[in-house]
Amino acid sequence: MSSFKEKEKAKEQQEKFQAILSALLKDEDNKYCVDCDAKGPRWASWNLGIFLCIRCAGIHRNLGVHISKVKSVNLDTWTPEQVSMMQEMGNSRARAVYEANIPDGFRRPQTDSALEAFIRSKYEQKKYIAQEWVPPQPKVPKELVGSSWLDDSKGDKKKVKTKPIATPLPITNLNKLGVSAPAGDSNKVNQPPKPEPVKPLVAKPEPVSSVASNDLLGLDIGYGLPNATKAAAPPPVSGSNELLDLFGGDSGPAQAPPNSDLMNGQMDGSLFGEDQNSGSSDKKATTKDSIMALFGGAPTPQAQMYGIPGGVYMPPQQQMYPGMVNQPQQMMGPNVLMGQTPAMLGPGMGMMGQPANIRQQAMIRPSPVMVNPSPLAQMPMYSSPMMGGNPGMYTPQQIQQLQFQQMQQQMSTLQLNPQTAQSTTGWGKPSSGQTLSTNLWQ
Amino acid sequence: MGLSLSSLFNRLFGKKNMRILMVGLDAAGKTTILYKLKLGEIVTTIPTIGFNVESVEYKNISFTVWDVGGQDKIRPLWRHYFQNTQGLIFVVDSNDRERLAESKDELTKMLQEDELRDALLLVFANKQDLPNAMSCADITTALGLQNMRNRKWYIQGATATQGTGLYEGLDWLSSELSK
Repeated sequence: MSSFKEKEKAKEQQEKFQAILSALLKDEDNKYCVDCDAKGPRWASWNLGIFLCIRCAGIHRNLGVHISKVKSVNLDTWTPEQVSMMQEMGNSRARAVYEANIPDGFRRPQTDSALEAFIRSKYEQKKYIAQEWVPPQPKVPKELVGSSWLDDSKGDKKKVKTKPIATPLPITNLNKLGVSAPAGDSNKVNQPPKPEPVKPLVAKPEPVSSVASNDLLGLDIGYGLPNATKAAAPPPVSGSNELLDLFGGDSGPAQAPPNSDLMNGQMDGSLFGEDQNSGSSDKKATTKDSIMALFGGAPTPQAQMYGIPGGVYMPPQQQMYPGMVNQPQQMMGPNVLMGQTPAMLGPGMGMMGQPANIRQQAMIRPSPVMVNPSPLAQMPMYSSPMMGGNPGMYTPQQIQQLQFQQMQQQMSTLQLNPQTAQSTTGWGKPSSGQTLSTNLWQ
Repeated sequence: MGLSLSSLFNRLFGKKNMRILMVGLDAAGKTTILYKLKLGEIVTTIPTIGFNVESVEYKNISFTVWDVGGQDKIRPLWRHYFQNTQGLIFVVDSNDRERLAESKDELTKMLQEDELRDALLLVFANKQDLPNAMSCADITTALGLQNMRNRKWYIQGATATQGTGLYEGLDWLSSELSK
């Protein structure tokens, strides 16, 4: 009973977050991958507060969670802290911070290795980071990182409950940001205001929280009043407004000043401006449809290129569909329809909801098998073109629908595919991997 | 007699097959492990939406390894791969202490599935090279492996990017398979 309510509540919360995130993505700031300028990022590093394309998301994951915590905008569930972190930063602000000392005329690398080197120097070595940012840095993420740190241990009630809230924050914070301890400490002392607003939030929910969704629920409560009545489709008092309230109301003064210290106040202003905007647009965006609609417009290319030469992201790797898709067993499918569905998506290629692309992949797939059995070079390339053509923002339900569509499409393609005939014949044969399939194809 | 002869023949010359399902939270390193095993190289990966599958030959066993994406909302798809799975490889990012509880939840949930009742459980405690990595012992505790009844399990520390530990894990699987 209560768990049902909780689920409902969590679901609503997630929808709200999705709306906030899609509003953020619609923002001029966030229309391009912060690292490579690819259009229409759908991934994020929430502790850094940046939106990424799938390829850069892959690279960020190599850095380790102590540097970057990657999440999918659509395929992961988000906690309030994570969302507010995204609101706090966003791509342009993050660029102002992490690329403050980037050489003039710097061209963003587009090859994988160069891109990885760039990303590592940017976030791991912090080569271009704003000098003045270093001290205040702990502060911004402090409460967010800290509290979400608690949040993150989803489902582990005991852990959350027993954890002293205050102490771990600085530690994780420092670790994550790689900021030197002394700097972090002094900052902590200087800027306790921000952490405070969140702490109570976290603290309150703990007792209430239950199992998997405790963080969401708990925070929901913490957030607020608006959600108290959950099932009643809380009039889209947009999440961002709540977040705003959170910061603005409870501790508005505390919040704003530190930020403007760090960065130019102008940005800060715009940040809040955005929030308001997103808030208002969220009001319309309660239903999934409207979320989609909201987001549908997002990837429309806009002029702002962040002053990067060659800023517009060309999908130069259009020919890239080959590669990993060529696994012979892939076609054997896991005997289950649903299981096969992802096959068309291949190895981490497109997002779940890309019906348009699916067909394309399906058509193209056979050839790579012959062309290039080595996934090596091509693999990473999928992402960018896919991302570019991937404007939809989908709720889980929609994802499901799309999966079915994909399934159907896939089924039709499967019939074209000689190998599928064997799909159920089991696991015996695939011994020679790709060569097998190559032969078959020939 | 004929049966035993053929089984002897198979034992000596035949190749065994093993269907492996590899799951774990997102960014645990599943795809990197898969391609390290398959190609012996480190590939640049992107988050897996859907799955990858490869057959890996090792010790005269053909491991068919399914690597399924670990993003939160696509985890419900894992169950569609359970059928006929002989070995379950559960990959954990040893460095990601904050999400270990989440890892445990997923593992526990999965192991309750009837289709996996006979599956061997191999846990890769991946990313052991990172400074803050938890030890296998800690992860064993955190995942509650010791409390598992009626389950053959094994935990192996690994660093996929260096290839360490991976074949040791397969060694265990193969030894269990031939039992």
